[in-house]
Amino acid sequence: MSCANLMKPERYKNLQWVLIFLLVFSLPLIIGVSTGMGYIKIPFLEVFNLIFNKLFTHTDINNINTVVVIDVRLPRILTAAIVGGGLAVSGVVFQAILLNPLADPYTLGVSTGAAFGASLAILFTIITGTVFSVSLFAFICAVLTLFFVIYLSSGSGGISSNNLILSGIIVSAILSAGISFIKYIADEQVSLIIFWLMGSFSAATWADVILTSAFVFIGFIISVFYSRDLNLMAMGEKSASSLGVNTKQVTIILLITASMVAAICVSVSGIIGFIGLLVPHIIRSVTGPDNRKLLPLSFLTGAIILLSADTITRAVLPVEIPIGVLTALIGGPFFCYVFKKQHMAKRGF
Amino acid sequence: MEYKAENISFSYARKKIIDNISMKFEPAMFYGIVGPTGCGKTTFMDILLQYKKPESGKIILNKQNLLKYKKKEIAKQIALVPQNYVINFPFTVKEVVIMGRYPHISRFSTPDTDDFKTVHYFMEKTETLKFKNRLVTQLSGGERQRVVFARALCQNTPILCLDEATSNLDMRHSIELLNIAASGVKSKSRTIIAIIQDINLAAMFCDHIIFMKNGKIAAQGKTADVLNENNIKKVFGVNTKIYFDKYSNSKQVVFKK
Repeated sequence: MSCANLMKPERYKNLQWVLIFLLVFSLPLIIGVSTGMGYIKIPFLEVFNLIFNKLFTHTDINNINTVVVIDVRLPRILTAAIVGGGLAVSGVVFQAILLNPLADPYTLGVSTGAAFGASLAILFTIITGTVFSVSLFAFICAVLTLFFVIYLSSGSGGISSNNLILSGIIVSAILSAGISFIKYIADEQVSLIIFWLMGSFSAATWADVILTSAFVFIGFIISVFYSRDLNLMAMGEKSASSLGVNTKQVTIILLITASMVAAICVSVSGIIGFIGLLVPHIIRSVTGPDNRKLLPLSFLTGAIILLSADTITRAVLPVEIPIGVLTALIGGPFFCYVFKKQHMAKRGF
Repeated sequence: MEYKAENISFSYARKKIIDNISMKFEPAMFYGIVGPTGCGKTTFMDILLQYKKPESGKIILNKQNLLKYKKKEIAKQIALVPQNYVINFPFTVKEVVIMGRYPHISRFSTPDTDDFKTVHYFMEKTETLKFKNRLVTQLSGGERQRVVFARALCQNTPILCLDEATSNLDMRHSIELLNIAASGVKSKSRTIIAIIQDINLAAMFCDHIIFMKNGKIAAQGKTADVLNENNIKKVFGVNTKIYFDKYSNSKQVVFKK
């Protein structure tokens, strides 16, 4: 039968495998290398030795390197990696559901909600003197924002992607004004808020690692479970429905999943832009828009990119630049390049 | 295969779009739905497909309310070629056509040889095989329509709905695609329900015509019986002359300036 030539995928098949191979092996490698980097340089092998000892032999070698690796650097590095992966996965899902290649984890106002919550917590801490958890406030406000945006955009005919994007913009605008007002009230201590908003992993703890990995892992599994439905949704809602997708259910489940992932990422790290927008684009240009490949590859790439960026600001640059600023400064121009190139080549997104 | 609509009504923003329609669809029949724009044709089809839920009334498929079916089960029974087709992501033509097999393949499986045979067969028929590796985002409207047609045919369903499926196509492809669809009517006892703007195409292909106006069925019956000057005048408000045309072996409608 001449259908044999239909069975082999043609699009950059080899490149895909190279990419998968590279990503899977380079993530642990980069984690190891960046753990050794910093003010105190620790050789690569010693890093692995230390981690291995800690994990399997439980012998506490109480030297300074153990403390640096286990208590200081690893939580930060792992959080950066998980947040990077989470933001990328969330971006893939948002772009697919909203049928908009320019959507990102923050399109629905989740980040502004988180920023508002964080600012509020910081303000309360300043005023009352008791400590309010910034992450908790950020997360709760992000989730409230999400549900309000979904409520605002749902009508008799279900929720349309245009309504979602519009509602996200409106709510973001209101919350931004709220943040400005909080900054105004905070007066001289406004820098605390500004620093949080620019994003940082410097305060990451093992609790952050566990919390974010739990959310991101569950979110990733749910997204992968629905990845084929997501492909069908790209055909338009009516077509997807006629091909057996319960579009309303899938839309709402994935919106909430992706937003939760984005919310937890923002609440532990502050606002880190461009990862969720850029990574899905880069991967899509290699693998095509099939979400079954896009999701895992974007996770790995997002993790590697954000971890590397964080390592650069932590250990390479003479002064630590806020990570959100760095990703925007590098990611922004790079996105312009990718966008223009794809645009010129007429490959679409 | 029993497939019928019972007392279907549907309103949008308090305006009645579908007003108490009942209709039974038989196997091995090609049904045409014609009517002026805004008469509720597409809404009626959306309800037949369970894409929209009727306000009152029900759709019965195999003695069971369509509401009781899972989406995926419906997709094994009814396929759709929608109108106004936009795809935002650069899937290849082949990838899109294979999606027609998804209702038959479980979530985490890959298509098998039979699936690929079906895909190949219908891509050849619809003449989409020659651009199988192009991106759907770069196709012309007509090419894209044929791709979507191939995808719906790959679903291999007993019922096929066409919502102005040939509106973007040139003469040759319109006739060829309707022929492919129609060939399954007698050979596989397939039911086709097609919304068709071109009354003469409808006259050529349909066994049965349903005239819709203001959300109601204005007239319906065998094409030979209902396709006449009176009904066209009543539904479209246009004066016509209808005669039997030997060359097309069907009734044909002619108009005057």
